[in-house]
Amino acid sequence: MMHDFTLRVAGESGEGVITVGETVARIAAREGLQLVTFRTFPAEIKGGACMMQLRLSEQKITYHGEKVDCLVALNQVALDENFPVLKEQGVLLCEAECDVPDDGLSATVYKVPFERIAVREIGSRISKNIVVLGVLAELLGIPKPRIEEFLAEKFAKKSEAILDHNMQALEKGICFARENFSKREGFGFPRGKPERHLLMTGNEAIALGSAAAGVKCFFGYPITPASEIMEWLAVHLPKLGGKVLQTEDEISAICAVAGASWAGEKSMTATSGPGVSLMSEALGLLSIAEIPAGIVDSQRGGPSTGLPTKTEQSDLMLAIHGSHGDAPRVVIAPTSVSECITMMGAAFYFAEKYQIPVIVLVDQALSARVETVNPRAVEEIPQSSRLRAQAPAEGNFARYKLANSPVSPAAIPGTDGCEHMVTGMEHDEFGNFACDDETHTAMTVKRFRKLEEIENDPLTQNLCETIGEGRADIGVVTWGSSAGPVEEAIQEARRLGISVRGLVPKILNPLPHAQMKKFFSEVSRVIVPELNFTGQLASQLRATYRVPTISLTKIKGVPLEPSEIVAKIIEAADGLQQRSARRYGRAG
Amino acid sequence: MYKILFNRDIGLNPHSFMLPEPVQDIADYGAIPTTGLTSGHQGCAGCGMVSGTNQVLRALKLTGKHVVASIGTGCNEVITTQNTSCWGDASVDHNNFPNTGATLSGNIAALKALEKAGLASADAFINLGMAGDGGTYDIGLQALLAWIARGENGLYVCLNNQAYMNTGVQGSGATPFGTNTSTTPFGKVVHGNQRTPQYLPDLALAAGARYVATACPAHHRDLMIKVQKAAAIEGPCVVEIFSVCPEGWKSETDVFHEITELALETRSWILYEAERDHKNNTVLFTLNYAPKKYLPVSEYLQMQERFSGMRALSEMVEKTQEIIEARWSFWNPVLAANRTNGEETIHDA
Repeated sequence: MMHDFTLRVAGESGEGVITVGETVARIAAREGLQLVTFRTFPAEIKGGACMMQLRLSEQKITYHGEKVDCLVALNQVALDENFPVLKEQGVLLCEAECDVPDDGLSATVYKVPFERIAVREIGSRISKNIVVLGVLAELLGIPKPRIEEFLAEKFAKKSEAILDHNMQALEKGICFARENFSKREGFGFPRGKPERHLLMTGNEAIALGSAAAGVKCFFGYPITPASEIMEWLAVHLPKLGGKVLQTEDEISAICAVAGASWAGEKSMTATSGPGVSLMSEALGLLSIAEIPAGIVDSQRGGPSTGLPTKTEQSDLMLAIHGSHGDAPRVVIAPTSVSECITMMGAAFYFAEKYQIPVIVLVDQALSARVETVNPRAVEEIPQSSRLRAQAPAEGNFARYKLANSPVSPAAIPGTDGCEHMVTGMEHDEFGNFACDDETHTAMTVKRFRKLEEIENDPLTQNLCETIGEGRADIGVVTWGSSAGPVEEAIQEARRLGISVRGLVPKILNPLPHAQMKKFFSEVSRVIVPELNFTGQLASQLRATYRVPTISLTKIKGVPLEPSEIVAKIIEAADGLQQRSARRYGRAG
Repeated sequence: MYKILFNRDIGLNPHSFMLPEPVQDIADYGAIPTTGLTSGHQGCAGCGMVSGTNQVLRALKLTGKHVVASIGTGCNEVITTQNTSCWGDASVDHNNFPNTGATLSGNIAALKALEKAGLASADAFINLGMAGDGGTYDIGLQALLAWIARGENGLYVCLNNQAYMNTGVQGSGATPFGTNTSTTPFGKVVHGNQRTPQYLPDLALAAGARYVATACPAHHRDLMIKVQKAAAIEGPCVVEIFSVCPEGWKSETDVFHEITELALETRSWILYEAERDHKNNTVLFTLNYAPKKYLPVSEYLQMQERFSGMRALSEMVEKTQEIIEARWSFWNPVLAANRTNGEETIHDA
């Protein structure tokens, strides 16, 4: 058996590609395997090319794999488009009528008349994907009862005839493979550990993490790829005593968050880049009025409607700086589905403790990918609550009290003796409009001191992951979902004998300065891979630490691949060698 | 407020008191222009929006003018922008989600400037705005009402499929009561959408639109008459088109007409139009279709799985029927007049 196995199913949207992928994923998770998936979405509402890739492993993995062990292609277009990702000795399973490219001779090819079996023998074209599942089950050694169990659950609400059709289709697939093909030795499902994992998408994890962090109010407006967060919460948050409200636009969503949060509840919204653009005025309001808020930005290709179904990490600058005036906020970026859960806890920890808006940056690939999650992740969520005010013994309540701590106690509106006004205008300690230079300076300093305190918060120290230790020639710094491929690239580069380390800050504003500075002092060259055109983290690092960086950017709408990063690492390592060769007059 | 007047006659109405001549009824015209929305769009099978857009463009073809369209983000934008040639000879500006009305104003201002400079004749163009129900009832409402309030000359078409379909069927301000959408899920405690939808013609009239109409592609003569009127009448005009959506309504793809007919026979969708006379502060309402026999709304709910939860709950069906009766009661004067063989003149159109 293999320890690590990657499968890609490709076809046209509507052909059941995703069902095949999801079934294999769910069975694998039940078998105790770790997995990460990646899927593409057509921009069309119906139809268009789509694929789902799954990587199954006995070990914890954070990337969906670059080349696949097994490719399932349901039509010629899918075969032609996806064939290049098949490993040299891989297995190709395709519709019988497809022409296999000439350079595919080293692959093991299984041709199956999926469509004919479905139409002629089952009498239902749409059960084609279940025939695929049957053939796969036989070739990979997936136990048939597992699939039957899953199908019974999936079609529980449908008629018995439909379930029957699907069971028949499964059986036909298995029989066809058994009669026509011989199984390849050593090819198949890895063996899992006897533990069960939760299987969820990044968006589901964000929603779950928010609920577990104590969010009671969600306001949102539909936008790809963030809508599923609102959809999950619409079903589950009311059961937890919360409220979900779909507003007429993103401006309303964020302003409703401001209202609900001022009234004392943990509140949030989730959107994508175009939504954050509309929300940016309110980000300023939340900063100056010192109102806690959680804002999830699931990034997609931009600007404007851009590439609505494709991934990109191009909102970093928007997240850190997007608004008018000096408006501090916290920006954090989870790197995996598990972290989507815990980082929502971190977001509300910072938001409530420091009374500041917090932006959580994910991207389409992370939002949509399915990953195994430790069921105990929810218990690891940091909890925090807002500093509550006591009514003053005499005089008015000072909502924005200038004291040693930049965080002033807050009061729920209507608390006796704590009547106050929060305002988007510059204000004194009591919330009175004050535009004199002294007040504006003192209050701006107060608001920015929160970022200093956050930088030194014990939680912040945990929000930076280092890969490797000690001095290294090359250091790779990345963020968000690019961390997975970077981690794999570093492992590969080390196998090639290159001295390389990695750093993944998960809090991007404020940056974890101590760890960043230490890292930069220990590496000779810094590579910054990220999914945008301008190298947004790289320019942030150059501006903050004055370190020369080598940007590796990609805007193809898909995640970085480890080989691209390895190539850049090799290039940088070669350059370094030549430089030292020149300096010391030795031959490289 | 304005004074309400009713047109005594129920039915197709190519006339307008604001136009010297009636507009073309395609039944009289013979050949219909074939260059509406042409091939290359990526609409789903059974999409009402494709047919609606096609008819709008064909009707505008009858005016002989060049169409300059501002289209907001939405289904119609998604399915017509991958292959822009499907717009034929129309010039199209796809803008953001919230600002179809604002972009329309920009186009109109530029045309006026070009005209002043002697570079174009505003008369040669039709300024068309097009958006879905999300881009009209929700995020685009401010821009739309502001555009109407500015009194500019143009035509705004709302393709209403009653939810956000291209992002995965989330509820909108136009989603019917009780509908199961991904953000108004039908559960044990909360049964789908709890809100009653707003009505675009009401909003547009209140903002000062000169002409408002509802239409459906299954009644293409009526639709194409209304679009021509909206294009010809001076000032802001709004046409709302009932757009069947098999994907979001969870209906079969070949029952486009059946669903529309049931919507009309149950009065879930009412075909009417209203023209505003600013000078006399009156609005003349015309009912374009009245079913001979009113079918119960339960029949309309049958063919669409989005209603599968609520149609099993009698109190929800009753409430839906009440919403319909309340809305329909507006037409009582004209219906009463028609019952007396039109003897009683309510208004001389």
